[in-house]
Amino acid sequence: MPADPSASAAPVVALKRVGKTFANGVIALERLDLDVRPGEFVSLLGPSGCGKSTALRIIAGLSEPTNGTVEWHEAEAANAAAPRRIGFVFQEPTLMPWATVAANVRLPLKLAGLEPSAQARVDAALARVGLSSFAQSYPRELSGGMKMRTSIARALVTEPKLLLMDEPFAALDEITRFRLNNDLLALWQSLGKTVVFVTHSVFESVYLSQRIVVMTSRPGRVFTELLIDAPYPRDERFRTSADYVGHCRQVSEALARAIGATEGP
Amino acid sequence: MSEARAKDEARTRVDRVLRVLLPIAVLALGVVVWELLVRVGRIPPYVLPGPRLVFSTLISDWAVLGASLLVTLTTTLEGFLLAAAGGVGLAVLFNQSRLIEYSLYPYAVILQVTPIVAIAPLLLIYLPQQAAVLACAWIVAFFPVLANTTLGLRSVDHNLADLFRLYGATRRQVLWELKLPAALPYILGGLKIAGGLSLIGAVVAEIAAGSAGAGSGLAYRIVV
Repeated sequence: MPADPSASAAPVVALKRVGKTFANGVIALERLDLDVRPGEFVSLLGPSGCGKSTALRIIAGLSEPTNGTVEWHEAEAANAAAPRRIGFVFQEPTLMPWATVAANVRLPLKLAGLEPSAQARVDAALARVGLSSFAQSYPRELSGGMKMRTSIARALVTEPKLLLMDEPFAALDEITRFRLNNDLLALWQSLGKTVVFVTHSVFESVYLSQRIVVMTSRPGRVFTELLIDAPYPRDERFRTSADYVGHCRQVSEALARAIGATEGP
Repeated sequence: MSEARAKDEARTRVDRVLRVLLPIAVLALGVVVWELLVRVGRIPPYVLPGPRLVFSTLISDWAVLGASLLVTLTTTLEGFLLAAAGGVGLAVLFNQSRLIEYSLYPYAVILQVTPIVAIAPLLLIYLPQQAAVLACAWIVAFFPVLANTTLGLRSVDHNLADLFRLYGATRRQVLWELKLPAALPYILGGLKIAGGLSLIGAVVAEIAAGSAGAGSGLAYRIVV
């Protein structure tokens, strides 16, 4: 079951005064502090260009911070030599077009040299996202939503503790996005992962998250944090409830202030 | 609905037949015009032989021409295979080592833009004749493979490359599991061009060899 985000458990990973300046001089992040607590569903919300994707890439180790540090919980740090137990879902499905769905999902295990035990884990991951009958299909035969499910299955196949998602549903139509939102929440509740979800949608972030971190842009920094205390499981009833609308208004106002704070003098 | 489908099927069948028949019709028309031109204009055979004379000579001299054709085609195929191996091999080498790429790529380009007609006589002096002809075919054909493969290896999806990095893929894994499969369409495109160019290289070298008084390929027979 989802942990209480306000609990004072040691963070899985903590960004301490992290800054990132790109080679072209653009300051993407400045003094960003962010704690990710075990088992929580936290969203990074902000206008495009606020560095939220950069923050996610720094957590994943795909990008090095210019200053500041990324601190992992001791248990994670102990096996830091092995590829960190992270799953990453990109904005695009990012599948290999020449490989079947099963082969795409198997990739992380293959790269880690875990072929022998792979088949059962691939089957399990595909079953979790409801794609068992499409294992031998190629990505071009799938709809946008199914490609994204494949991408999520691939992220889950190594059984990571931490799942990083970079606007994964931004390119999908609304109906598909709502369905995947529900499926993602169900996965999160049953698997007990920690999820860091980057989005620019107020509605999506309120629907999914326990905690929303609102960011300002250029330079990217935490503007404020909001807790969404609505209970799980959340479903379509929650999506149309007054509670949901109230949270959306609150988050929208915070986002507007965050944007105003940047554009002001 | 089935009526519309039947109509569609009939249309694709007609389309398929036309695709074969029309080029044949154009060929026949061309041969007829050629024959008429030769007959009406009374053009002597040493300027332009008619299609009937060409065809009968092809049959009567087949022993010589057929053997020469085989030599030229063999050279072309060998040149093509060497170009495929060399082009892909060099591109992979360049991709793995930037220093080697910086050192050698300009010379690959220079080799490409130097007219093969200018190099062929020199190669014929330095190398045995058959090797020189093969070298010419290779020089002309390998560059498109090299250029296309280089482009293909660089055109890997950035997110996929990040994914491989995230899961700690080795250089070898990145090359075999990601870069080469991603580059495959580009490589095949390069090979398609190389096939035609290899023939041109072989023929040009044979012509150069023929005028030097040696040779056995088809182009040499035509020159002599």
